[in-house]
Amino acid sequence: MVTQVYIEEAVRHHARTAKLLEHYSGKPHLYLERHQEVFNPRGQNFRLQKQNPSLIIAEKHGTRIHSAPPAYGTGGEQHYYFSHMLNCVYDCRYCFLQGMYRSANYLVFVNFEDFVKDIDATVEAAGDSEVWFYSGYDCDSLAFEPITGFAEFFIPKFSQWPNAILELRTKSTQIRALLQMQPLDNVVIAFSLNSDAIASNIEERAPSIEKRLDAMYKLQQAGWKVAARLDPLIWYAEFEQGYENLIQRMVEQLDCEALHSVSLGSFRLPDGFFKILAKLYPGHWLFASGIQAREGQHGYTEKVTELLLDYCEEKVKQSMPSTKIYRHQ
Amino acid sequence: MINILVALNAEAKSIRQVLKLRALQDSAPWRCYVNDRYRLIVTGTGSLNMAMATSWLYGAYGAASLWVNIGSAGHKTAEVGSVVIANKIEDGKSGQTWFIPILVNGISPGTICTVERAEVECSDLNFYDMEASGFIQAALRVTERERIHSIKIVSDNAIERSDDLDELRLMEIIEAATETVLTRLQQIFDSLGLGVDKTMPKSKTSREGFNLGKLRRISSAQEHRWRELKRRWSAVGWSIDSLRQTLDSHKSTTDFLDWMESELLSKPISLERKP
Repeated sequence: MVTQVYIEEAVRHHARTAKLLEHYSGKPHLYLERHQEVFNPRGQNFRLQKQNPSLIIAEKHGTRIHSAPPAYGTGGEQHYYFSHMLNCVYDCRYCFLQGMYRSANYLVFVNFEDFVKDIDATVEAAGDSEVWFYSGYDCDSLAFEPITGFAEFFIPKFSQWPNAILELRTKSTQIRALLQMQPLDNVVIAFSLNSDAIASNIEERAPSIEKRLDAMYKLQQAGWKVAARLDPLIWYAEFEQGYENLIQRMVEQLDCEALHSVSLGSFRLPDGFFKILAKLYPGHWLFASGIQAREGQHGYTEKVTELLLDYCEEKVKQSMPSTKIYRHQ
Repeated sequence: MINILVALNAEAKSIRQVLKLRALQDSAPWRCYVNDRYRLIVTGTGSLNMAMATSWLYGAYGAASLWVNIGSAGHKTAEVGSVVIANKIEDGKSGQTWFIPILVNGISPGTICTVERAEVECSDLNFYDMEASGFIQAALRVTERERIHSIKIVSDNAIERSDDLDELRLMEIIEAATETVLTRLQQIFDSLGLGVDKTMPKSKTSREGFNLGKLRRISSAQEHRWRELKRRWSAVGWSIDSLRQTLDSHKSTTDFLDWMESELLSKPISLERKP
């Protein structure tokens, strides 16, 4: 629930601002020069804000297309990500965004056209190479879809760039706009999945696994390319049973042969982010059990990481070709 | 503890009475009133007095859950006696602004513009006071933005002008609004309570258990490691007290700490039997 809306003066009269304000017409709104006045200034409490965040409507300046982190992708030659929104409506305990920003407010950039120009320039510069663009790094790609119209705007643009692939990462079931569109061959809708125990314990406010699988099924039926991201895999005593059950349900509910890809990754965070999260939640088992520091990251020991990845890979392999399975460590 | 900062005695009186606050004898240079939940200080008028009193309060008593400036404000059209919570504070002199996160739904927020003397030419966009900017500048040095709030009661407007406002009338206005103000204060306080992570297991705190330094010679690096391992041990729901028996079976402190770490790295938590 958004408590109030901040609007940058520069986008005061933007059409998307008007649409957002229409949605939040009952909420107090305040105008400001730059979003930095309320997003990320010092002396904010992330946890308190996360309970009742504000919405900030702003213009994205500077770099809009970023190189994707290593091992983020599933094939292809060049990998980039872009974020029309910072912060997420869900409250997953493992999420690195909690360590990245001091602020939990939702920041929505409304100058979509500028993002498109930059994507176009990146595609142009890549020549004939395959270029991947990811959305869902700094936010959930679809969770705000009815309010921002992000997918509805960006997806049709990709029809003009056949060598560019758009991957939308999400846990959301807000797929109505996608179901009303003509599916594009170069767009992948990738759902983050986890075991029921993990989803119900530490993916607060996110749709249940049942609902996510249902959304994936509907998208597959409608002709969309769908992918599964089993990331982060979490180590707990019943993990074998939990992930076996998840993969079994994927096999039963989805056309696994038609899945674009399945990627696997164990829980890991850069050292700095991990320390912030462990400080935010000193009593949470996620930041205590099986974790050690190695090579600039905090994550599971090599042995546990292999155990998790091997187990899940083996299970997934039984239902789809290994060329579609990607391991991220 | 909730700290309430009020400029005038006339503004403080009914709050003191409703909250049943008793005067502190040793709070010079400020008048300070307390009970087991609230601490109220009368700061004197103006930004500077408010800033000094805020800093003094922190220096004297330390952190508080909430820092609230309550007082009167003018507005061009708002009804006298109405209550507003600041979501933006402007310093009329410097033009500097501060945004205050409002975590409560369904309240009426507004912009407070702090001026040096009672404003005659009011804009109908702002509420005018004489302390809020001094308050927020000082409070931001000692606590987080979400814990700082300013609640104002409209004492004058274009019809009922500030020139005609005497102490008695001010007391009447504040008294009539005190219940609303304290309800708002409670709502803000409750909204901070929501910050407690509901997904966190109710594990025992890392303060529980024994002091390793009293039982073994321990270096500062080991002390640091012990504290971190103790946090993790508690977080997975294991008993710190039971470590005391295990300690005797380890020859050195390093052996003991290594053993703790290896246990944490090799034994996963059961989500079916989560603490």
